[in-house]
Amino acid sequence: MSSETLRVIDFGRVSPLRSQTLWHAIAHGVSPGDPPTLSLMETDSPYVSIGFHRRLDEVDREECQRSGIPIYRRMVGGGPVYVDDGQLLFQITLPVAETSPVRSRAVRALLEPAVDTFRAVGIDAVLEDGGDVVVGDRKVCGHGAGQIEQAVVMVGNLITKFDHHTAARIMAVPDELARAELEELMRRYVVATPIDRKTFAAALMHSYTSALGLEAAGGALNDEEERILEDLDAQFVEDEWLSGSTRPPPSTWQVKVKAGVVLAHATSGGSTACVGLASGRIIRVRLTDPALNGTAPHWEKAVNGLSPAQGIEVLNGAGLARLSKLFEDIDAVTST
Amino acid sequence: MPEIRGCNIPDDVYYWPEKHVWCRPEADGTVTVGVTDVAQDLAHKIISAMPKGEGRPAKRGRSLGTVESSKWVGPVTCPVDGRVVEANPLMTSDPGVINRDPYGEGWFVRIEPDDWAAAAGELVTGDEGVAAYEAFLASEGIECGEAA
Repeated sequence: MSSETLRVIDFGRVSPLRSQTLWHAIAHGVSPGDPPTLSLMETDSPYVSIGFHRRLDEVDREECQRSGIPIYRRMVGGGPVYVDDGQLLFQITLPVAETSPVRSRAVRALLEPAVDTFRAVGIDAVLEDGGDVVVGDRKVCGHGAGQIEQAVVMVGNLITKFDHHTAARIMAVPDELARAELEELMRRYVVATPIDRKTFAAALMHSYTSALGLEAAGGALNDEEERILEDLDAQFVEDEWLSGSTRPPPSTWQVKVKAGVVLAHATSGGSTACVGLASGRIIRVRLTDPALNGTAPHWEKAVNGLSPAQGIEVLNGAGLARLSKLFEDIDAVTST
Repeated sequence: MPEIRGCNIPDDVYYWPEKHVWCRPEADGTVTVGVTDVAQDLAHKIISAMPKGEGRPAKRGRSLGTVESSKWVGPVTCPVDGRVVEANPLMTSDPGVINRDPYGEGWFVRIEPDDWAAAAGELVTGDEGVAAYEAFLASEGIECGEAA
């Protein structure tokens, strides 16, 4: 590490826009040899943050507008996420040359101090192979990472309380059944850890200074970062910036709840399959088909716990060709 | 194709080793640009790619677009000044092609260079290029196959 200090900036409660642009300004301002920065903040009102490569139509924009929830596009990866004042956002930002060129190794190295922080405050968190910070099989900390200009930045959050209902409500879904299933999966796999903010922030600073071998030093944005911040404040509210990615939608609607846990929805000819998958296994399924007088609870039970490929066999064996065709689409989700 | 530290490093393209990008001059005067086998290996499974669109300026050292893998978004660094004349349509429909065929179907953009001769002078190619890339990989301790 070129520097001997870790600059620490706790911005406290800020606007939704600033809770994104502040750390982006830090990243844009980084030059080789600069000290790493640990930054923290909370938003004073709810918003949605969408990953750099994600399609805006993954978010229910009408619902967001109705609820006064703004949407901002960040410059790092991951999907759309709901952010409110129940989350302490933190970021570690450092010159790209100070990180491993092997991206998975760099992300792991920057996430491990966050895991150590949870453990230091009594939460038995671990970093899963899939990259999520979990307690048991439940995610307790979201993250995203990337290279912005000359900086590598890893962002994460402490979720002290999580509004699963609104987090599901802001997502664009094919129907309300899918929304209800999404909320259920979120309740099952995303859990809050109600830790005192000050305690967590102090432990976070200790973990990152220890991991990087640096001394903490309080700081503030410099003049260059302040100038960049103003530019980003303007950029992040432009429609062109928000519109972002033009990548085509996937053939089968899907939302990742955490690494390895996906909700997928397929429909054809009046039949629908809404399937929750964990590690390739069906853990929740809702089937509807006109020929089965609407819902199909017997067949939902029959395929529960199976892989989608096994589900195809079961449904084909029962002569339910239309439903098994839907499961081929679901199987494609787990295979990608 | 020469294999260096587990990475495919063909000797018939031009490299900017520190940025893990390659380029190849075409008969029509354009230059095809992509990321190297090393870059795709370091990134692991690429799930999304967003090259700059046709007509956008290309500036050496600046971003030509981005790729995403495992919640990581990183730039593809431009090796030559000029203008983007084509973005590979497969980048939006099948970004995983970068992992499968980084020097072929997984190309990123084509650029109309301002001055290819001058740009080529800042890149490395042939046996010398492979050796330079190998030296860089050794200095960074990079071997392909580690990220999987």
